[in-house]
Amino acid sequence: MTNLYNDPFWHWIVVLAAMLALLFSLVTATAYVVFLERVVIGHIQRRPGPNRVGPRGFLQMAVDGIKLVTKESFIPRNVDLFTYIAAPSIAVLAALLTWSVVPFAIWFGGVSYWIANVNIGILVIFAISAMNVYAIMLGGYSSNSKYSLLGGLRSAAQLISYEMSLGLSLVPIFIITGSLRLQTIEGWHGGLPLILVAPLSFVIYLISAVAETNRAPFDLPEAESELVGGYHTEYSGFKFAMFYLAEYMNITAVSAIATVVFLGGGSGPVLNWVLWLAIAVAVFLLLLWSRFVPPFGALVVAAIVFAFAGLDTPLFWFLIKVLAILFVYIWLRSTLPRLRYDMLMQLGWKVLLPLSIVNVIVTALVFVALT
Amino acid sequence: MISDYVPLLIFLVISFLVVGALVTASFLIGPSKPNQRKLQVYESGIVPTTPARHRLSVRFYLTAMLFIIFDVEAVFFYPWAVLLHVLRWYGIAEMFVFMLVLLVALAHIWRKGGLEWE
Repeated sequence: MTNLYNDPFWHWIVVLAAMLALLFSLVTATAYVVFLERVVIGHIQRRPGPNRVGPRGFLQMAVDGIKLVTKESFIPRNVDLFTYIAAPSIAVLAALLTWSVVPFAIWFGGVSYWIANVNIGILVIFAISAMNVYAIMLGGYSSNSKYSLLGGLRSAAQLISYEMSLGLSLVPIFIITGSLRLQTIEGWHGGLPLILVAPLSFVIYLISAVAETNRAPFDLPEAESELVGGYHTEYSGFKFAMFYLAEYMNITAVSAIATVVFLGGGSGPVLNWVLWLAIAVAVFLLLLWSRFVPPFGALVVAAIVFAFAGLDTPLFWFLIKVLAILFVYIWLRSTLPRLRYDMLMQLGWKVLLPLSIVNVIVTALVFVALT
Repeated sequence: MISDYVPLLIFLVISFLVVGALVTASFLIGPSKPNQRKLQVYESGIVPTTPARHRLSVRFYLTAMLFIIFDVEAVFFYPWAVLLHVLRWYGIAEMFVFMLVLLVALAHIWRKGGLEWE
């Protein structure tokens, strides 16, 4: 529980520290998700990707970030100033708040830490992430540009179309676990991970989540060939960076939610230190074989894995699973071509929506018949 | 319990502060040398002749209306889903009547061409 200490003062100090740590690690992690994406897509396209700044291009995102925020962030003529500034703010706010209920517990000695443990965690996430529609629509409408307006409108229609199947895809999970609390869903013990109990839910969730975060192959709002930058055409410098940050935070957030709901979150095999050492050695040999990092770098990574895994915190398995889903995201982007807009809407309304309703019906019938 | 939401509130305040700091920084950091050309709206190099705020396609309005119908449905599903292990067949019977009405509505919209996008 969050009640770390009986002393209320220290309790809140710890909660505040956890929040600041979360904020810091979110921003850093987001930067490295972008880096991961660029490297993975680079290798899929048989080119090295960013590899100049720092060891193996590892400082590339720091340099890019500094360059982006120190660029001129001008406000074009005739924009609606208040909504123009509100739009990226809402985007970042929604992306940050989504993380407040995600249970990424770190536990030492049986005490776990998270920001909020509320009984309607999933509803909070849906309520907050729905605010993204406002960010995109206001951004498109306030810019006074035709590209922005069209991009914003398309995007709003896309987001609300896929939101229904996103919401309905998780209903079978609520039926099975009987709870909306993310911590209860994560700790559900039915012998199998929920992805095997409700595989269709997982597929619908993943497709809808890709559409909800405006990622390829559903990145219609920013279809460069027809809409330039879509809703953020008129944003530059820092304000563009805010949209960018929010997008990648959302990607990590939906991956984390998929991990918690379908993959059992931080649960993983309990191993002794000999097995951990074996895993670390395997990581070392794999890195050495891939020649992605020099031998010394491989040694450092293996040491980090051993030290981190040796702590036996659920965070290790949680991060591994989130990374796996993120990799699928990047993989999709580099493999699939963008859908045409009418095909996108038809997929949402004519395939995913009926499919998710059928999924709910079948799950409810099977659940009541079996229990 | 309502006290579970206090951390959420604190995090909301912190997030507001962070966003406020970011917006303020966007005005402070970076050069500011506006000129007439730069402040123009981007339209692939052409000087824009008409304002951008056109009338919108009615398609988007229709999509938004359909969204309201089916998203409210989804919200009704949540409490039912959580309590299904208590309601059992009674809950299934009740919900299926509701779901049937909505599926008929979906089929009707589909047949009328409300889901087509020309």
